[in-house]
Order: sequence, then C-alpha cells, then structure tokens
Amino acid sequence: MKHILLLSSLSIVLLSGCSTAFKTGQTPDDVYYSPGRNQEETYVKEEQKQLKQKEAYQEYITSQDDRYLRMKVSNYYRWNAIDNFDYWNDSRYDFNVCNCNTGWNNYAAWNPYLYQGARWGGYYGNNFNGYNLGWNSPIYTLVKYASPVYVGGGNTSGTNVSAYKNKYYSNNNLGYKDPKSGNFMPNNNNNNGFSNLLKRVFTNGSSNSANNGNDSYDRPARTFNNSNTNPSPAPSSSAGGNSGGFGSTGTSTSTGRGGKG
Amino acid sequence: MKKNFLYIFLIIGLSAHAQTPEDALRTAWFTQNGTARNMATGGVMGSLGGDITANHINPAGLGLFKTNEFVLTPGFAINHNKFNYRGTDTAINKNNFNYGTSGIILSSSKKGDRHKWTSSAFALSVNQVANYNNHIQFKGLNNFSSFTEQYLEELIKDRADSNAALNNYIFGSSLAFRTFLIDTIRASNGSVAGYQSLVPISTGVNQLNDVVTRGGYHEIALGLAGNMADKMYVGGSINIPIISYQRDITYSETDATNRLTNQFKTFEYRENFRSNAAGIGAKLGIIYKPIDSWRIGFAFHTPQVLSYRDQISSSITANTETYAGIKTAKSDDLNSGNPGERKYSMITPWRAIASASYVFREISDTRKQRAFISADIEYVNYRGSRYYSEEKNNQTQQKYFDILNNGIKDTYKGNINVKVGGELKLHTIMFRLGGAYYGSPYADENLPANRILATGGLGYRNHGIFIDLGYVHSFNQDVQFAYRLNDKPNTFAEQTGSRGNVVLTVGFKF
Repeated sequence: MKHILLLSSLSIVLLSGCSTAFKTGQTPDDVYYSPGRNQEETYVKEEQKQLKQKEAYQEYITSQDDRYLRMKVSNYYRWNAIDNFDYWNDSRYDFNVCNCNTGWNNYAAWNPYLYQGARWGGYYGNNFNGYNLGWNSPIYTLVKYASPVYVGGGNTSGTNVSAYKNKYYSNNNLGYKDPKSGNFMPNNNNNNGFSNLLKRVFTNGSSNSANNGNDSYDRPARTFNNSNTNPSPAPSSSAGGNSGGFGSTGTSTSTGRGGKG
Repeated sequence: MKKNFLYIFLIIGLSAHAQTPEDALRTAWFTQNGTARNMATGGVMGSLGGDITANHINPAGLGLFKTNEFVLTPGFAINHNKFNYRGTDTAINKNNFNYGTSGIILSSSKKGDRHKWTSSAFALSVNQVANYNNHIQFKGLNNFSSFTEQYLEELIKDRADSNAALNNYIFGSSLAFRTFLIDTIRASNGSVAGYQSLVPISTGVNQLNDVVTRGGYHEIALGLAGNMADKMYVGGSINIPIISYQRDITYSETDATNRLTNQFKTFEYRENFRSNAAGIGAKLGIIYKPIDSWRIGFAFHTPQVLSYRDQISSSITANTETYAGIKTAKSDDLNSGNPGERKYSMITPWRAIASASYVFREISDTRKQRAFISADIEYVNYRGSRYYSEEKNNQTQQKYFDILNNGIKDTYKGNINVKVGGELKLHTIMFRLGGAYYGSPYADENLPANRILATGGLGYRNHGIFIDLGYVHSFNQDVQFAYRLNDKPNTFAEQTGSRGNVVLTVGFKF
C-alpha cells in the first residue's frame, strides 16, 4: 500500500507539471458538456501534420526517381517495362488496385513502401481503397480461456454445503436468566427434543470437582443408522478424502493419534 | 419436525469453513466503488457518464468524453462491526487503505457530417470492486450446539470408520479425532457405532469466533465507447478480475463451568485460508438522450469466468483434561508439511442496471453548469454463481460441484440495489449528496441483511485539474455463522455496525 501511495504521489507531482492543455481558461466537465480539446490547438496540430505529410510525399517522390534511375542503370532490360506504354495501358495487364495487397503484384512487390501505404490508408488511402483494410477492418479475437483442473478425489460425496438447506434457527440457550443474580442458569434436563443427538455422561463425583452437585451432563453424539429394515453399508476406511472441496487424505498420516495419555 | 431433522440427517453432511456458498457471495454482494465524485453521489453511473467509473458500470458513459484525463483515487476505510451472538454483544474495528477507480481516458472527435460517430473514447482503468479487509469477532454462551457437531455429522454421513476418521479429513474431522476432541462410540461387540464430542454441551460452552480477512477484488477494464451525434452513446469494456483473499480463523469453545471431571476444558480451531483468482468478463451499455437534459441508460454485466487456486492449513488444539490431556494436530503435519490445495473455475452472477439522469444546463460554459440528479436500479442474480470442474468424467468432483451449485441456488436469490445521487455545481466548486440501498442476497427471509449508504462530498475543478473528496457511510446488517449443522437448528450472530470510506480523487485534463 505504501508503494501505491508513493507511486500515486509521484504521479500527481509529475502530471501537475504536464497538464498544460487546460491550465488557462475553463476546465471542461464531461458530465455536463464536453467541448473537445482546444480547437485552436487542434488546428495548429492539423496544419503541422499536413506540412509533414507534404514534405514526406516530396521526399518519397524524389526517392522513387532515384530508385528508378538506379534500377534502370543496373539492369536496363529487366526494368524496361516500366517505360513501356503498352504494358501500362494494355487491359491484359490491368491490375486491380487491391492486388497490391496480394503480394503478387510486381509493382507493389518491389515497392514495400507503397504496399504499406495502401494497407494502412496512408498517402494513397482512399485511392487504393486501403482504408478499409486497416484500422476500420473488423477484428475477430479468439479468446481461449482454459479452466483449471479441479484437484481433489476421494469418496466423500461432498455434502458440506447441505447444511445450508437447514432453515431452522435458534439463538437462545436452554435455561433461564436468574433475576436475582443476573446469571444464566442452564437447564440441564431440557434437551428440547434432540436427545437422540446427545450422549449422557455420568461423573464419579470426584473430590476435585468444584461442583459436585452436578453428576451428569450431555455430550453431542451421532450414531450410524443400522435398522434391520433398511440396513446401511458398514463404516468404511475409504470414506472421506475430499472434505470441503479439498483433497483431504493426508500423505503422512501413518503416525496414528497415539494414546490418550 | 423430528422426522424432518432425521431425514436431513440421513441424506446430508457438512464441513464448515470449506468451499461453501458464502465463497460465491464474496464475488457478488458488495457496495459500489468508484471515483470520489461517483461515490459521493451514491454510486450512480448507469446513465450519467462523463466519469471514468463508467468503465466499470456502464461503459457507454465513456462516450461523453471528448477530452482526455488521468485519474487517481486513493482511499481509506474504517470498519466498525457490532455483533450480537446468543445475547452477548461484541464490537470490533478494522481500518485499511484502499482505492477507487483510477486510470486514463483518451478521446477523439470527428468533424463533419460524413461521420456517423461524433466522437469516441478509450479507457484503461483499475478499480477495487470489493475490499475484503475486515475483522469479524463474536462470542457467547451456547448450551445447545457445538462446533464439533459438524465433524460428527460428516463422519456419520460418510460412514467413516476409525481409520477414515483418522486420515481422510485432515483439515477438520481428522484433527478433532486425533486430539480426542471427538471419539468413537463403541457398540457392545466393540464395533464403531458412532461418534461423540467431548464438549459437555448441556452445561454450556463459551464460544469465540475471530475471523480476520484481507485482500480485494480488483478489476482491470479496457473500455471503448462511441458517441452518435451527442444523442446516443454505446460502449463496452473487457474486464480482467483479479482476486486475492486471505482468511485467518480462530475459533474456540471453553467449558462454562469449573468442573474438572467433565473431561473438557477448551479447544481451539485455527485455519489459514488463501484464495487467488483471475479471469475475464465484459460489460456492455447504452445511454440515450431522448430530449435535452435527460439521459436514460442501460448496462449489462456478463458473468465473469474466474480461475481459482486455494490453499488451506488448519489445526486443532484440545484440552480434554482427564480424557486425553492437551493434544494438538496440524493439517500440514499430516500432508508432508504442505497446505491443502484446490483448483477450480467459477462463474460470477450477471447483473443489469437501468438508470435515468437529469442534468441542469448541459452547456459548455462551466460557469453556467448547475447540477445533476441521477438514479440507478440494479438487479443482481446472486443465485447465479456456479462452480465447475474440467474433469467431466470424474464423477466425484462433478457431484461435489453439482451439490455446491444447488446449495447456492437454494441459499441465495436475485435482488435489487437502488442508488440515488446528485450534485450542485457553483462554477469551480461542487457539492454532492447521495444514498443507496442494497437488498439482501439471502433467500431465507429469517436472515436479515441489507446495506444502506449515506454519501456526500465536495469537488473542485479548475486549471486543468480536479480534486474530489467523497465519504460513504454504510450501515450494515448481516448474519454470520461460525458453523452450520444439518440436524439441529443453526445459530448465527446478528451483525450490525458501519463502514466509513473516505476517498480522494485527483484528476488531470489533457
């Protein structure tokens, strides 16, 4: 968190210095109305952009002239067709402008700059119909999402969520509050109908007991249902192993639990 | 009634603090987080737009941008939790740093009538959708049920013999069995007839549940929106959720009497749970201006697909006095020193938002811009979370997920959240107020839960910079279960209290 705060503070300081566009005049509030960025600034930027494009075009034309001359000098016969009037005006050689993207058009092949220009709608954007082949072309992205493998196993039926189906609630204890002392007096004999889930334990009334008057209490208990009419499978050592969604069979459980002492 | 309990007892079992429907709720039930301006106005962003929070609520709102901006939103939260558990009150606080929507918006305008789209905007932002830093603590006397009974139910349901009880439940039942917190009940022929807990429940135990959670549900959003003639805005965002969640549980039960002959003094269960996830989702939206000043919006959030990896370590220390003395068992010791691991995928619920806003004076002169008021209504299908395994042929796994998914459908429901907020603008200074109501995700009407938000804040916008301060006070009502049983009425703590969240947004126009 400290790193985040430090980074945030640093960003604020840096950006305070960089934010120049709206330092003077009104600061737009896009919730109400967004005027766009400063029109004058945009105009200047556009003018500069056009000038750069013009310069680049002139440089390109010049470079093409140089290239033409170099090629003609190096191999006159091979590139003679460039000056062949019949070649360029014969319908048999009438390439479609879109062929520039096929990679088989000779002119484009030896001129990668033109190829790229047509593709991204550069100087020849609309003429070469390349505009629709670049930014505005639909992009189909295949998102492949791999779900991880659940690691678990075992014979537990995984019913740990079934207790959520139990819609019975009780937030009261069994007993009463003594109006004199204010202490809660548990009712040891009232099991509220759940005696089958308890096991009564009798103590020996040891002399160490601080409360010899109570000689019995209940422990929670559950027993297997082994009715003769609907016999259940015998308890198994392969039960469990997938408790709560975790692979819960220990890999180093051979120690046992030892004795009670 | 007794018959019903017996029936439930026969068909089901459980293990608390494992993968439960509550894990699914963690990715669905939370109050909205955003920029300070957004939070100060109750979180309304279904139709308002013009704020980077729109990237996480209704991406069409990005279409209102024709300028660029960079936004940072640090925050600080104060949790004040109150609990009442079986008549005993507890209060505990937890403070932490957090953050709201932060990121960058880049826009472009097109001039002339040839363009169908007047402008468009792209946004890259991150938001802490939910903050998991909290502390839950409640205690009380219980002479009706014990935490240990869940282990008895699990072993009986699975028909586990003593070997299985010893080895096959190393994050819960086996720990209790190894520490003699639970033990077998022997039949007259020496066979295992069942299991008993050493907890002397009828004389009562003092229960204490302490849960510290950390982490957050973070969301990276890449949004794109188009503006059609300043009349209609359409947008969408791809979301990458990243979840980090840690939970440390310390649960104990202590003998409420001073008796030294009842073979129980105390036990303590400890659990360290770590969960990390990443995934993908999408949000789509539209905003339409039927007439000047009015905006109507609709957004749909697709379910997010998350890939999880969880780790768990747990231990039990029990003092059963003359029965077995003090014993400790740790899951790591039973698993070659390693925590337990699980991997799975999950789908979060979908949600839909409908909204309307009225903006007083949508004009360029910021001195004349005056105010807005907005309201959102959101429906969240909380019962729509689903867990999946890729191993479709593994019937054990698939059965587990099917039961879990059915449990989610049975436990939760779809519900609505309502948000209202507004702003008064006096040129460079702005005042904001709002409120929100988040309905209960629980299908059971006996479990009271809701969140009511009161929000407010101030804003300043000038010299290409804007600074917003927001405060959200959330009045919370919820229920917390330390454990759940199949065959006895369950007990829970009623949670009230509040969460205060201070957020500061600093933004730069460029």
